[in-house]
Amino acid sequence: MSRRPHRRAFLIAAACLAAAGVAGLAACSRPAPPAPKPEQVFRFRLREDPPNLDPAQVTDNLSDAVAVNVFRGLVAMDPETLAIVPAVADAWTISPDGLTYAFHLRPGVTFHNGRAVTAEDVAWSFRRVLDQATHSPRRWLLEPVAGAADFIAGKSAGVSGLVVEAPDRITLRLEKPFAPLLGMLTMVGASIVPREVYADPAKGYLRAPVGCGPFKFTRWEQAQLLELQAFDGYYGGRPAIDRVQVRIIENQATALEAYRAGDLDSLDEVPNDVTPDLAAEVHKYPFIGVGYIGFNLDLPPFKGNPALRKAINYAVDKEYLWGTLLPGSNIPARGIIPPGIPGYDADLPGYPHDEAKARALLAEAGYPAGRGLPPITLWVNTSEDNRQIALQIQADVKKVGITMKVKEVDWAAYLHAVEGSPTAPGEAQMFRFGWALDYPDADAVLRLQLHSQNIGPAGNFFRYHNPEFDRLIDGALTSTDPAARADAYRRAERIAVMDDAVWLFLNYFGSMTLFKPYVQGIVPTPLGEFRMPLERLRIEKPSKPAA
Amino acid sequence: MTPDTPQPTAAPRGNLPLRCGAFLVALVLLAAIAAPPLASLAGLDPYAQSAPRDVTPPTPPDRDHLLGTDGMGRDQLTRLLFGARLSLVTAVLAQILALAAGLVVGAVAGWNGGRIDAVLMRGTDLMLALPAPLVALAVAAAVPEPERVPFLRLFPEPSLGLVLLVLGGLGWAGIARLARAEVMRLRTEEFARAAVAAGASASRVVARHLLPNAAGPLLVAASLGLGGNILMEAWLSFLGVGARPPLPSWGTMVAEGQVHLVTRPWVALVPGIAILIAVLGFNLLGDGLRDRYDPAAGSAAA
Repeated sequence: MSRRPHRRAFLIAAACLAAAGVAGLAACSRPAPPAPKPEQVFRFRLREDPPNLDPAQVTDNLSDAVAVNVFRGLVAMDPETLAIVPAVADAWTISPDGLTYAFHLRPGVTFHNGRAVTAEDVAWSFRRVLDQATHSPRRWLLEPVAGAADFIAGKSAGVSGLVVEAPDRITLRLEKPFAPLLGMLTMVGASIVPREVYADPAKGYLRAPVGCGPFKFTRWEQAQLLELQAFDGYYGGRPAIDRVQVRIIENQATALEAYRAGDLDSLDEVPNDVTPDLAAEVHKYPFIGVGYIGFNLDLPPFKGNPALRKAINYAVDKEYLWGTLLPGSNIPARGIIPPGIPGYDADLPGYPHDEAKARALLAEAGYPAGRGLPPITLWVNTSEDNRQIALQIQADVKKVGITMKVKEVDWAAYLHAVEGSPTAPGEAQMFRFGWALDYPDADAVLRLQLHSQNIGPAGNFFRYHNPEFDRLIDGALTSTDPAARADAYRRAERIAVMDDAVWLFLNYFGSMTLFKPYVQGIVPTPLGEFRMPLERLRIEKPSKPAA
Repeated sequence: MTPDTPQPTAAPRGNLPLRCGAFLVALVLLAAIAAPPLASLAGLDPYAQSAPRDVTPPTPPDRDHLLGTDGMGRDQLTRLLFGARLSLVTAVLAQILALAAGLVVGAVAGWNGGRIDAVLMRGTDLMLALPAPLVALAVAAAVPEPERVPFLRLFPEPSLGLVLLVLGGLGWAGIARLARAEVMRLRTEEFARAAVAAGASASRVVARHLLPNAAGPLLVAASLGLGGNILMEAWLSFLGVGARPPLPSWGTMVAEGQVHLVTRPWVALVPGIAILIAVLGFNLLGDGLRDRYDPAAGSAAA
């Protein structure tokens, strides 16, 4: 109810802004649009405000969902085929030894502030991510570049492997071959940002991000909405959608009602008993991601106790969870690497539901029938599905004698409790998490989440450290033989799953999203519903009802 | 059952709310008492998933589950009955706390008068001026993990312990004002003067002579307060800062059911109706008691 006046005031303000923007652009470079067409507005929902829209700090999918539309890097990933495609760079060559990547910048790419993107901007943006002062959890994206280590350590003022050859040419030199580099450069963390905005010590960019992506960021009303406008100067052509509104609606039922009432054009979290009238608007597609409950391996009772972790894995009935309780697009998981990714292991046994085995392992862990085991707290971020998942796990483990408390917190506080720091574990003992693969390679989950070099906010929240596992992952990283890489990932996965039971393995993701029938150009992207390329969408309805 | 014959002791109009209220409260009380034996008789548990394993819950009412199951496949009726228990115990304990604190403050202020009265009553006014629901929400939300607070760990359910303390801590002011007014009115009565003249101590006069004579209005206030407490507990639990899952609080049940409001409305409606019955019951009981003790006040004030 209280949203209405806000919305009206906001619409007026937005209209003024839009008018000013159009006038300004018309004055400087572009001819006025021939005829005024009805404005195309696409409205989608996020559960909560994105925690951070600085591309160097984005690690979660809420921030990613907004940032991917504002920012672009040298290369991008085709959302449908997952192929690496040109973005700010229109061409590149890789030397035969795999050590030199030479990029040519597309002519005429400009930032949202109107300035042309140069190779110097690319170098500055990459150095910024590497810079100690930035504290970027995505520093590893650029660490393969030669000289990065010296720069990080403060031994040199520049990065020797980042060479600006000309205003439109930049070369990245590596110390050793690094198979997933191009894939990693498609991530938001490797976005190109304008120095004059991002060097701001007052960090104005946190509230008003500036990039060179298809949409420019125009407004952020905390806990209400974020707004993006189509960028006329986008190198890929101005998007058909004029305006994107991201509505912040925490409650799933409220969001569904907003969708039903026509206040949203799409909805990411579809209840499992969606009514027949909406069934035709449900879009289901697989998604390269894996869902699990992470164990904090540096905190009791999980520290040094794989038997306990295995017991919990056997105690939880994943088939019931995804087959009956929350039927949708999720597939019960046996391990880490999702189907469709090289290295996926169809023969991995995993932990099928088996209470007898769970009891035996619990006794082996030193807690026969749960005796002597203090209550374990399972953390989830607030959402209806998470609550049901948590309650189901709580009920399942109770049957073998484990007492579990459920703690629901909002996303920002949740991340804080889960991530910890490189030196100290987070507060959460056990937490639900999902990991979308940022590039279609097992490296994007095995190394980022479980390699000991990424302990802390970089991705290894579990603080998993197994030298044999690390060795296999490191080997696969520099190998150029796809079959050998896939084999190494399979072996590494078996160690993490069958020997160490680092997670309670829950599901391989699928996306299930509602779209109004008038939304056209929907791409069933395996990158997940939050990576829908909004620049490809069109709104095709006969006449727009007055707002 | 029996024809509605007016009773000589009460005003005919005051009878109906009292009866209806007493009936509804008795219903809730019965549910709370009968929950464990009924559940064990039916072989149901408020926490166990008893819906068939091959059907997506919530399942509609059937022979095994008279009110169906909730979103987790747990028997809705069993949870409802246990919810009555949880709701009543929390509300009653909070009210006892409020009564105890309110009586002490009110009696001390009313008996002593003067400066003590002024100080205590300004404090009471301050409490009454606070927007109670918002304060309750703020306090409950400020303690995200009640089970970690040493004092709250003394309660079998720390999250409800917190709700109980918050409701008790907010509810005493109204009782204190009422108790003060009654003590001031009664202390000049002959029987009170006689007790004082006979050498009884102040506390004895207040406790043995004055407060028993104020029992009527206090009972009315307590009854109305109970309804308020039940509503507030449900509201806090609905918002996720009261009873924590998997406790079968009615408020939590409504919150969990609202996702299914369009497709399976009974999941949220049933606990909602339970809250309605309990709150209505205590309010009617309070109104009825007021009419009975003070027919002149009428029910228009309600």
